[in-house]
Amino acid sequence: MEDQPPAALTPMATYAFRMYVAGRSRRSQAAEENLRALCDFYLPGCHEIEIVDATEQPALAEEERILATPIVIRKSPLPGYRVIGDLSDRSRAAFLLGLPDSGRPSPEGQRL
Amino acid sequence: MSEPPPESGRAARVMAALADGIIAVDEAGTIRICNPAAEELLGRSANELIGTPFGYPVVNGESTEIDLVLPGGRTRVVEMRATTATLVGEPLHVAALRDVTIRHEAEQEMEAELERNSMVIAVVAHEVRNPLTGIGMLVDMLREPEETFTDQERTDVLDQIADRTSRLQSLVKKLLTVAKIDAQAVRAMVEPVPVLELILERLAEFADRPNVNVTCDPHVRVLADRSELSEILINYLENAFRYGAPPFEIHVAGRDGAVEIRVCDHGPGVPEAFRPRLFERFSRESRSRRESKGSGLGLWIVRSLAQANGGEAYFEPGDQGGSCFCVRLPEAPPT
Repeated sequence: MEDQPPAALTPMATYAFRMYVAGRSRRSQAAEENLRALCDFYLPGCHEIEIVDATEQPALAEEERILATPIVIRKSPLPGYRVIGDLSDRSRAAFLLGLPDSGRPSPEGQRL
Repeated sequence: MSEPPPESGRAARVMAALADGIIAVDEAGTIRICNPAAEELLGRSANELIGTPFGYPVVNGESTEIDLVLPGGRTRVVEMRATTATLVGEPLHVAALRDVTIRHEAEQEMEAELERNSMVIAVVAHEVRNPLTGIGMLVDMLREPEETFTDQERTDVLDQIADRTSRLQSLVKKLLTVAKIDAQAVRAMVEPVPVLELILERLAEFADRPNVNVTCDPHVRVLADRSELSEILINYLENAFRYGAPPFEIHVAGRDGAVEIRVCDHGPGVPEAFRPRLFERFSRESRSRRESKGSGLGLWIVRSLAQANGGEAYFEPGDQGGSCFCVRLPEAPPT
């Protein structure tokens, strides 16, 4: 126990997300860009993003019971929150995905 | 809410499009409530949907478009609005889904319709004005008191008037057929039709027509609407006589439960670049002698009627130049 670093220095857990889109439409691309932007802001350096095209992998989408796209699923840490939409309301999306500090207002002048 | 979805189909989809599909999810993002319109939009029953993870709907502004993933992997575009509600103290995230696929289709249909209408006006104006102007001038000539005509000259002028009048009648008939097809009023009254008999009847209607060699087993019969098959043949023959060159031939052959009728000529043929658009509405080969003739409706009518009779119309270049316009229709069983 004494070998553990102080709490303040504990590295943040890696967050993993899987986003399902349907084809390479403009809204698919916007959703992906928004997810990457909000992860870079809330989880810099400790996130992984996987993009899955539901039209190319219908079996996987069926297995995960995907009913709508674009959708992002927080794969880890659990629980696996899901948010549907293009995530252009990034702070709301971050809040619903349970990202750390997502309740805070954006720093002055910094655009999400 | 737990009833199975209504029978799918366009009518059901239209009904669903009129009502918003409502999906309400709980704090875990799991579907708690859905209405019949949502069942229809998602292609799944309430039994399948309730308890399934959906996710939190997030909309920036009034609404956003999302794709619903249907069973089998197909998708459907819907407009989503999101709100929150409280049910017996429990917060719910509510997504209202509206089918925009039908709206998009309707917009595209409307745009295509507007384009067609403006083309109809342009084609009709061009096709009607020319023969009418000609008829007017010929009538003026005959009325001219100082002009004296021999009987032969008078006959020639009257023949020209008759020819232009017949072109106008043919155009009006085509436009009526187009209107019927557009209104989906074409209802093929399918019956066994002896092909050779029909070909000979139609050929007899062409005055001063060139010779046509017909190859057809007299026992061959197709299952088709007699008047529509007549119209198909008339269009093909008019086309051949107008744009092709002799010798003209009609070949009829039965194969694999279908009968193919080929109307061939030995004219200049159809340029390869134009062939894919040959049967499109208002398609006319440009920068050629075709430009000044034809409404661009005949071959489109042929294909529409052929398909309405369970067949197909197509073009094949002739073996030694020229053109073969073909129609394939179901063969009638032997008596």
